[in-house]
Amino acid sequence: MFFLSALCLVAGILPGIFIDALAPVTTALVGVSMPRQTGLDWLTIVPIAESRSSYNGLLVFVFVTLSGSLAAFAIHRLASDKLRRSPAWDCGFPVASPATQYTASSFAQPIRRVFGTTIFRAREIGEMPPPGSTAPARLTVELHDVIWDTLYAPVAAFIGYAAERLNVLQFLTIRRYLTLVFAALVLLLLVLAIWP
Amino acid sequence: MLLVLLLSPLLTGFVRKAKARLLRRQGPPLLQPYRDLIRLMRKEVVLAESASWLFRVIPYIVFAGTWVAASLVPTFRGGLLFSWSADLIALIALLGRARFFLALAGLDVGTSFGGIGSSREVMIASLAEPAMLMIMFTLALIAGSTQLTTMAAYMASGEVGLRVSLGLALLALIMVGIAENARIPIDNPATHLELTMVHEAMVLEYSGRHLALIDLASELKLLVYLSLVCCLFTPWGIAGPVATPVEIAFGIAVYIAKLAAGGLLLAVFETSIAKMRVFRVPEFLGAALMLALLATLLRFVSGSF
Repeated sequence: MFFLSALCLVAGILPGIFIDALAPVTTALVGVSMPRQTGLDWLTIVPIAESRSSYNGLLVFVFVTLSGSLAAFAIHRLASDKLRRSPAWDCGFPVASPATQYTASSFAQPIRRVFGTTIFRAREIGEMPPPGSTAPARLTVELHDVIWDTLYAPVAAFIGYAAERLNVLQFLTIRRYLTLVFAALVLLLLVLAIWP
Repeated sequence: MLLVLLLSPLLTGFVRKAKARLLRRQGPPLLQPYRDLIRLMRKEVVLAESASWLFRVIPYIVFAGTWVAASLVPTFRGGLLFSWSADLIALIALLGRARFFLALAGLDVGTSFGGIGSSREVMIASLAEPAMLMIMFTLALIAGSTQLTTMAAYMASGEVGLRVSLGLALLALIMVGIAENARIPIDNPATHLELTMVHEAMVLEYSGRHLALIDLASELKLLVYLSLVCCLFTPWGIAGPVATPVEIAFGIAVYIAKLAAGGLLLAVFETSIAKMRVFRVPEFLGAALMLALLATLLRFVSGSF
């Protein structure tokens, strides 16, 4: 896993090599490819022309690392580098149990709330029992994955239906199976005869 | 590079002073942010027991990314050193990278406040980043390039003319800038109440020199967005790549004046509006996205727009 993330980092810092490596693919697909990128100064990539846009991942990476290291060095030398460990501040909140930590679903809760109504067709359904009944009222949130419901579920339903209908082939008599074999032979001989 | 670093606390001090004066208060002195930074740098860092090495490294990463992004914007002169190494898209990516690491820092210690800050921050990011990209798309279509120097030069020349899509893009950029810099109405930079924190919640556990670096990074970010607005929409006075010292000095003076005007407008806007509920922020940013989309569409639909 670290190898793949390191590869991502290398692809960002030295994009010219990857663009040139993908050139045969684009030539096969579209017929043209990006101009050669590895020969430019300082390993820059220039997609179209220098005035339009140019990007040098290596230089940006070097700048960021240099400024970060310079800041760290200067601060540690000129200001303080003292450090002390203590319990987390948490705005004075005393309970530090795992239950108060953010999990993946709680981290995504604002995004779910913002996009839920449109992308997931989230609907809140409230069921109120009639007066006099002691059944509890329920509030449920329904989420539908729209892509699954429109693209994948119909295909699965069709395959199930076809399999049900074709299942009758498993319960034929020997006579019917032999008829099927005979019909297949006749069909193949016909195809062979008609084939130019 | 040094200029943006030195000017950013002054800009924040100016905005705070202007806000205080508009509210009939005296306000802190203009140089107070410098004193705050120096004081914080000298203090001892109090680190939570559950913080990892990443928590200690992130302030430097965030600061370095924002500083490099700030040095890429043609503030007083086009063709600054190595400005060809990154264009507007890379600048947005640098700021987004800083934001990602800050969200990680908020989650690192395992407190619920950090989680609040990080989850709200990524929600705002998921809406502000597309808007920012659409704005950039509009501007790149109009200027014919994504290189900041070329764009600033094009905007300064007479070929631009008055365009509706430029006005829409300016409005959208101001809205996105307010969202990204954690200003009222999106987030209050002066509060520590759970109900209203986004950026402050993520950095709640930082102290000492780490907090100083994060504060400096957020001040630099404000400078970046104001400078972007200035260089792309009011690029008069920016010296060219080859310039005499007089032109450079004039460029610096004009830049400082533009920053002061922008800071004053920001202070007026912040004092005249209340902070929005957190889940009304998507409507605000959705409006910015719609404006940017409209700007791009107008650009395509009618050549003169």
